Amino acid sequence: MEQPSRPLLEISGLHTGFDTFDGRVRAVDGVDLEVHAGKTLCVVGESGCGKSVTARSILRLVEDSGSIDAGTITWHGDGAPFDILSLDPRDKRLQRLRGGDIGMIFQEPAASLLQLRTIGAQLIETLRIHTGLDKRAARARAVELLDSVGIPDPQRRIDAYPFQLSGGMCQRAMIAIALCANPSLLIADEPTTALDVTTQARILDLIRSLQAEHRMAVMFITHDLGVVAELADEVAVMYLGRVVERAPVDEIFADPKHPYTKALLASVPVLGRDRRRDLPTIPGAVPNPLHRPSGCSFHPRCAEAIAGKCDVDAPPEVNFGGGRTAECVLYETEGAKA
Amino acid sequence: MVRYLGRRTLYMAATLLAISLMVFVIISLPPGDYVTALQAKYNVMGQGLTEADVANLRMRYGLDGNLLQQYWHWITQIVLHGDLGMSFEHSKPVEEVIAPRLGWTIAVSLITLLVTWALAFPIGVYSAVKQHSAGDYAVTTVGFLGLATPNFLIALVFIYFSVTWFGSVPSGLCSPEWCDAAWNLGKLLDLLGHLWIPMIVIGTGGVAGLVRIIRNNLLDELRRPYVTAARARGVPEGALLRRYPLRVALNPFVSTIGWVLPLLLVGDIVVGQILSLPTLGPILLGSLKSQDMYLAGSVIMVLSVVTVIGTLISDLLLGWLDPRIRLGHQR
Repeated sequence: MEQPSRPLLEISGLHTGFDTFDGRVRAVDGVDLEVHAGKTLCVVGESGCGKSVTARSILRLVEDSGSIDAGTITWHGDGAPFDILSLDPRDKRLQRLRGGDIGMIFQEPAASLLQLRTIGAQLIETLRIHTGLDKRAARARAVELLDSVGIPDPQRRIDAYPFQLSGGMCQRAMIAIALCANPSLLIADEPTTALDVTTQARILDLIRSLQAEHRMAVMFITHDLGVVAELADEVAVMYLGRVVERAPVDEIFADPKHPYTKALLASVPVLGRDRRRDLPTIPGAVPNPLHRPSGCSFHPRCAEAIAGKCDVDAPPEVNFGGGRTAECVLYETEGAKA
Repeated sequence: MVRYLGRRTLYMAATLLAISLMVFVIISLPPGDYVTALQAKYNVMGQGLTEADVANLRMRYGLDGNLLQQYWHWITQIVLHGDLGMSFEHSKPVEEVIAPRLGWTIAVSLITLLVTWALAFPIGVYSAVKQHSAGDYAVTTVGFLGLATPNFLIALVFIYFSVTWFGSVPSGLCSPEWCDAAWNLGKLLDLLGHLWIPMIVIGTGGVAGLVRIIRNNLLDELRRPYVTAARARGVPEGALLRRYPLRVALNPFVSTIGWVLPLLLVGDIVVGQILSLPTLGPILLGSLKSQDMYLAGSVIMVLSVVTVIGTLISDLLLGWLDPRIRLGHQR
């Protein structure tokens, strides 16, 4: 599989932690990821695996109790590449990145919009921050944008308050806001989780068509493997704050390497195949990140764990080439060859 | 909006009617009535009233029917003629007793309210935005003290210090030489010289309470997803605070008008007594002590009207600020 030479966004060694009463939780514990221009990267994992925190760390949106401890996030935009994490909070480049070069949409569209202001006001505000249009031009552009994300009757809806719109319409409005400055990257943090299935499908279609139109990269956070199959070019599987496997989408479904990925795929119900048998599940639950298992953090739940090895040594990252990696001792020898 | 306003006004009228009934029951609670009390007073003075006088007086005050008829007479007198009845203690119509003091009461209350807001708002916002800072801890501690100290105690402390340091007691709202003077700059300065004491005394608890309300509301709002979302689209921090969480945190603040206004009016009864302010508080206290029930009832009625008006004002402001209230949450 051919890789574009330079990624758009490069996350390396990211550590983000949160202070709790029981101690520091390492929500993201050394994540390396790359997002390539015009491509879709899907980040999958169970709840609490750190996928949302990773996404938020990119725009430095981690809440007060948390902070980014280490790592670099390099942005290769139109200008000179720079490390987002080492920017001063007042740096103009961070301001331009947020909503300008990188658009972001969230899990709960209605809660992510201020109920007291019209969607038009919130859209026009963002437009004017990033494009410098005057009020009238911004309003005209806002109507166009609402139309382009499939909001019917945008002339009238621009003055609607979020509570007057459905969840799907609110998410469309959020997408319009995220795309208003023609970003090169859209970060979508489980944007369809709070929506019903048909709305979900429409929003996914919309994101896909807008991506083709704007030729932007998408980083899509989800726990839904069906969504992954539909949208992704590349997939990163996360477990307990680490990326355990990375692969192009067709390879991850055809030939999963990491035992966790295999187990995840096996637990997806398939029509016909799963008749008269229990759906396979992964034994146990995601461990508390405060009490991370020694060695490979997946070993207590792993079917292929090797006693005396997996519970002692941190697993090596094996590079299979072509953008495929897996953090597992099973491929140690293969990786050495590759 | 018109419907909202109409609905609110209707509620307001209904509330006032209910309050008037309550007030009337309070007036009628003591045994006997105003005329028998008057009779007794004249008897003591040795100039008894004739049967005809008594009957006329009973007619005049509508005291010859049962409770319901009396109430009807009383409320129609108020609504149609603005006649609140006679004050027993002051021997003149109630409105003549209340009117000159109502202005002062409202003036002192409004000024205190404005100063309370002007102080509480920035302090509360600062305390929330800089949570866990030294400033926040200082504000919170002082706030607890202010909230826990009764106003009359602060008034007594003021009197104590002004006697020990200046040898005089701050009383009233004007010095004797200015009280009857026409309005001019001297009187205004004199008024300001007196006003700050009741303002501080009455305002302390209000500021402390409001600071806590704003701080808690804003802290809640600062953690909402829409704040993160707005930050993610590059809204600068100052504008973000003003246009997003503060807009929402303003709601409970505005709805406090409804209860802060009467609290300031009534809350200064004891303080008004101690500092001998020309407000309604001391009048209400005096009328309750001497069973001057028309006066007491009227003062309570006036306070109720102010309360209801305060609530209406805050409702209207809320409707203006919050589209969810204005549009009745329709889809």
